Amino acid sequence: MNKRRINLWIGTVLISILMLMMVVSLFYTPFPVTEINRLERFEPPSARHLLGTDNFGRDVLSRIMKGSQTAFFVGLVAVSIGSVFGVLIGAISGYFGGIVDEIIMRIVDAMMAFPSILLALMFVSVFGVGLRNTIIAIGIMSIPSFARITRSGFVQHKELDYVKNAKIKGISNLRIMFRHILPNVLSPIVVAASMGFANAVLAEAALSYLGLGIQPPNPSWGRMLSESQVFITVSPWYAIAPGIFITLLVLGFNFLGDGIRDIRENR
Amino acid sequence: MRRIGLMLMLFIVAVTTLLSQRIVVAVMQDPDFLDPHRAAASGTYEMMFNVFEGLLKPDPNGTVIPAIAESYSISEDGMVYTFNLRSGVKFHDGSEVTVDDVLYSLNRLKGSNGERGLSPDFEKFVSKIEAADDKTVRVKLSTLNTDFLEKFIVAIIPESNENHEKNPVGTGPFRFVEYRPGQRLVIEKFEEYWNPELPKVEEVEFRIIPDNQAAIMSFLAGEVQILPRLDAIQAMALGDRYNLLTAEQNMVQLMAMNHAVSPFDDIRVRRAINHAVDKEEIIEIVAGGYGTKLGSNMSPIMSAYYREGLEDYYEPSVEKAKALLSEAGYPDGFDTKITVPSNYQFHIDTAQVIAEQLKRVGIRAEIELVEWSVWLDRVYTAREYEMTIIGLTGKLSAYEILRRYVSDYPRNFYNYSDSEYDRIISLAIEKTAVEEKASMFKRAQEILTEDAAAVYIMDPNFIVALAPNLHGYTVYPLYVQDMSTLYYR
Amino acid sequence: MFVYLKKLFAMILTVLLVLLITFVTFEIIPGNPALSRLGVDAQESQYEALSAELGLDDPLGIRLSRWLKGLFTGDLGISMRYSVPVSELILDRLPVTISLAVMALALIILIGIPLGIVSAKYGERLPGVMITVISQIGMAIPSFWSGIILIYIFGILLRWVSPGGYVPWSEDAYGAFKSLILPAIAIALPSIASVIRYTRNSVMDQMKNDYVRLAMSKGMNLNSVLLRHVLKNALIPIITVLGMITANILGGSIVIEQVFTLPGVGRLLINAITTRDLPLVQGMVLYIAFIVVIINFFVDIIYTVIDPRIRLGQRD
Repeated sequence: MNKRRINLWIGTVLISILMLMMVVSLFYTPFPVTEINRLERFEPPSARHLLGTDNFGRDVLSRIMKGSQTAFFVGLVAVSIGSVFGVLIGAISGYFGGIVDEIIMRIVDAMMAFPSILLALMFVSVFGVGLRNTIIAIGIMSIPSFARITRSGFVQHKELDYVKNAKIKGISNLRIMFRHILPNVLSPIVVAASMGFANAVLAEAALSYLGLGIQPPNPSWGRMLSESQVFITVSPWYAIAPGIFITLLVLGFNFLGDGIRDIRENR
Repeated sequence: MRRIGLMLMLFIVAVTTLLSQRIVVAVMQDPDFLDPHRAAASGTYEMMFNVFEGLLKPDPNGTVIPAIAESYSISEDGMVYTFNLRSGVKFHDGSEVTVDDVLYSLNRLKGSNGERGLSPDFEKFVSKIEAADDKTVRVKLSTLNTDFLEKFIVAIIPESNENHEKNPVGTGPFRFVEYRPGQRLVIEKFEEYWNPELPKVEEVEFRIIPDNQAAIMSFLAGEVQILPRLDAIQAMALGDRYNLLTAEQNMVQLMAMNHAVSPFDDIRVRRAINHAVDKEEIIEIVAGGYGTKLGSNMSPIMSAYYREGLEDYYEPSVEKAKALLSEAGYPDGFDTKITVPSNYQFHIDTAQVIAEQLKRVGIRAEIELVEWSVWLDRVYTAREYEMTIIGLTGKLSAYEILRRYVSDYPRNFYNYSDSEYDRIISLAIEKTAVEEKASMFKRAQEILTEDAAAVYIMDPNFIVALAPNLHGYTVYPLYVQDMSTLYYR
Repeated sequence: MFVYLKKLFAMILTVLLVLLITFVTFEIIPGNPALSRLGVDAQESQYEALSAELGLDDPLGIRLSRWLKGLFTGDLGISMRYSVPVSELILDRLPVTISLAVMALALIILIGIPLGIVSAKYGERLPGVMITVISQIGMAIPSFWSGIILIYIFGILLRWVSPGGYVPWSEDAYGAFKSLILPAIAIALPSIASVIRYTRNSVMDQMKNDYVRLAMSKGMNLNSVLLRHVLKNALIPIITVLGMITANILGGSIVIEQVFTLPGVGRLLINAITTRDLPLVQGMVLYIAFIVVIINFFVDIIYTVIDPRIRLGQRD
């Protein structure tokens, strides 16, 4: 039955719900996201403010909804950067082998061995904080894993018959790489992309927690978490809500990734 | 089994009693130098205030009282300061303070034998330091500066000490024990302190906890007994279980506007912004009501020099702001950026409120967070910014507070320049009569306000949380933690 | 052996590359250690004096050669912020980071592997699925959030442990344990989840093999097969992931150290970057690289112990 597909289902459902929230937030939020209201600070969840208000009197639900835009945007762009460059590098490395492969893999290994926070911190220090640079930093951080996975796949496949045939036929290397091999190694990459999305969301949250990342007053779930920590004894709901949503989004993508992997394995 | 339980209990009681002679204070940063003549950061003085003393020391009222000197006098023309040393004052290494140590310390600051001094002010203003006899020291100024008395709180340290940085030795109520970078600075009671009644506790640990939330958690768990510099909301959260003290902290939180950048070179724009900002709203939201509204670059706690009434000079008024903006040629407002150091949540929150307030008059302000080092580099040094929010810690000397706006002050990052202001400030330190000096400093504040040099927001109140059984905390108009008067009951 | 040496050499090259990048980055980024140390309350001449003392005004060539010389003599230099030798600062912080690593690893191995095996044993049945779901959630929760929640529940509400403040082992062993257990748990949680997954996948993979069915048909029960044969073979990928986790923790769990304000190696790194303390940053970079090399070496050795067919340095 659908037992095999349960991961896929759970993942898809979770992501769809959150995506729905995001789409809605593009047109409507119960309250303006940045408007300050000194009279309604720290209100607990009520009919009017479903998730309560924060220290500025802003509606938490509206900020969470707006924050989902940031989460999806960061995840999407960061993973795109990571996957495009990672796949490119991995493909070249795996397909051509030799000294190019050695050099590239050394660099990739170095990047992976390094605490990514350090790289992100330095990047942001040079180029400044903010949405764009955060995304770029996270994107760069995800390149190594895509490169590794892609390279693995290319190393495996380049020895296979269909590749050798294509070479004999005189098809150009570039074509072989991207028209023939790539589609076959696509599924672990897709799985990695899904996980990468989840990691990007977590990374942005961590960076925002450390004080880099998204600028106020734009709500990012990670930043909301770090700002709310101070008030945890006064208004715990403000600290709990962003954490739950981050967990849900990450869960969704992790389940999705697993689901895709399950399908691939059971084919 | 029961005996073990009893012994355990006794052990715990004994330990707690022993420990109760020990205080842990949460501080936010490491000292920059342990050598008192090299230390510049206020965070350092906050702690080392307990280890070092000068000829004079600050008192809770904002004036200076005798310390190592028993008494002092100033000549009529204000150029000569004479100090009579107290007898029996000992250094932490057991040796007595002699007039040679005083000369050594002051000369070290001024610079002697061709070596540069460690204090630019001593270098500039002092011409000669000499011992009149072995209990009296005379300091002659080269240029008149009637605000110089406060400078004599600088530490007197022993001439015999070879390394003041690794082994800081002073005369204060506490002796230095250890410093572990990023972790803690520990001091212990100095048994031979010249005031036999102080200090009262045995040991103090300044625990370095840069994260406010972590500090609060430690406090609630009983690990930390003093939490200075609390946020208003956190203070509210602690409630009645703990002693809370509040006072003005002699800090000026302001939003600076870069006078060298358009449109902030236009006084109408600056005034419009002053009308757009509702300081009371900021005080309520960001400081939970624990803040004193300001009108110029001086806190009311400096009572002798504070010019009252300036805080209402620019009443919050959207119409007035818009009118001024139209007059200046910006009927639809303009776009700008507020640069804020990312490690000061207080200023970040203030920026968010101000951005909303500016929106109401048509100014669209984007908030830009930068790392502290970057702020120091870009805003403070290179002056590349439009608006920024910062808090300036208090000093005892009005001159030191106000000279930041003098045209040729190297760190005049406001790019403010007014000849009348410059003139007044240099005149003020020539006036020996306190009333005359005060009136000049007050006029200086008026100029800043009239010129809308910046938006002077508030003096955020100093909220300290103390463990319930801790008493005797004294509040100073200075960034210090005076540990000598504290005791447990 | 030769493969291994090649790897070592590659690692050394990588480290040098990273050190060079660090040096160049610090040249570019805005920020100045003297200014950062003294703050806004100092006067011009004080900044100048400190700048000169730290050697910040020397031309690029001189600074570069000074750095290179330090590299070759193994002198990590003096921290610009704290004026103490860099090695001293790092060694001072190591006990915390190492204690955390040991405690977290213990939790991860003792909880993660058994649960992973159990989960694999029950496969698609309820206990297996439940464990999988729980481990999924464990991986999805941001570690600093779980840290905050842990502090709130155990530190403030229940007062079982004392947050914020590390007690050295030498002073009070029980206190040290109390101050480290929560962060160790916070660090361990996502890794436990990860190890459960890896273990489950690896064991399930092994279970598909013929030798399992063979052993069971000979009358061995499932549990002993699992423990005696499957585990040994399944361990390889698990050890790999454990190696990565260990290297990560020893490199300093920066966020957790921040949440719990532990004086560990991670916070030292962040401080070093924000105060633009180049010697300290470089010292830390070397330390981290060193850790990675050592861990990889141990992992390789463990491989050969588990499966003598694998030769030193061979992997994937």
